[in-house]
Amino acid sequence: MSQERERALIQQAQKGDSAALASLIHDHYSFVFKYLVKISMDPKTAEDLAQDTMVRCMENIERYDGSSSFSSWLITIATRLFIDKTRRRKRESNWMKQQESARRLRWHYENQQEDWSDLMELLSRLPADQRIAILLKHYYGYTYDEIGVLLSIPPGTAKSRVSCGLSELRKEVGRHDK
Amino acid sequence: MTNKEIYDESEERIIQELSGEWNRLDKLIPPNNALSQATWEQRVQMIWKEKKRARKREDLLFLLIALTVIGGGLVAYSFPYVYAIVQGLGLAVAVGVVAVTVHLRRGKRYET
Repeated sequence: MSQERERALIQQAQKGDSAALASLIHDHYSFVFKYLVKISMDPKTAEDLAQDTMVRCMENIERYDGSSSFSSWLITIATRLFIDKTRRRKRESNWMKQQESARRLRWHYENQQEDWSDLMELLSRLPADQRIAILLKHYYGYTYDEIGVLLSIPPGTAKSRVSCGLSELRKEVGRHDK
Repeated sequence: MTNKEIYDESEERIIQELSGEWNRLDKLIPPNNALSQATWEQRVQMIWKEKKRARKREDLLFLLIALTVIGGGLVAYSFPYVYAIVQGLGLAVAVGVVAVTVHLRRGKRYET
């Protein structure tokens, strides 16, 4: 979707045009889902959260001020929903459930005769906040300042999460290589 | 090669591998419940309608509270004796409820 068309659709949606908002959501759903699979490492959770993200987007579209791109705004909503869910899970005794999520993803891989690499396994064990920071920095190409805004943390914290996560992965990869 | 260069190189390698894994993930796990645009539009309309209804409910509640506060203020200003009596009665009922509850609980504790 071109940026001009997107901007026009957003303006129409903010004026109350439901077709315009539906078109925006339809176009961005897959993007949000893919982002959520990467941070949650669980297709089922990603599906639920993608739906919730879209509902939040419908409820709050008039609050979108255009200071960041529409997809960044959706990423912010999706990340906050994911963090809320993770916190709730933590209270319910978490570790087992996180492993279960990763197992579900692994099952999807094996079902399609794809191999589940060591790196994916290590990634699934990394704390979610570090995984999110690495993903936003090195896959989506956000700067530390932007990540700070997206996650409501100082840029320095974003930087340290990325570097801690990467060094943890490097350590583990080294151990696996030996 | 210095230690830092080795460190940077291994980090670069991990980032590349991660990007490869994430690209593979995108291809392997497509969304299951991708809805049509028409279905999304129905949902948008439903949610907007519900939001409007909730806002109306909130406005009404706010109006009721405001009216009660203003009305109460006017009554207290116009009929201070009635206001004092009503307040006294309210206080007496509250103290009575607390006293009865404490009494009942004490009774239960002794029974056990």
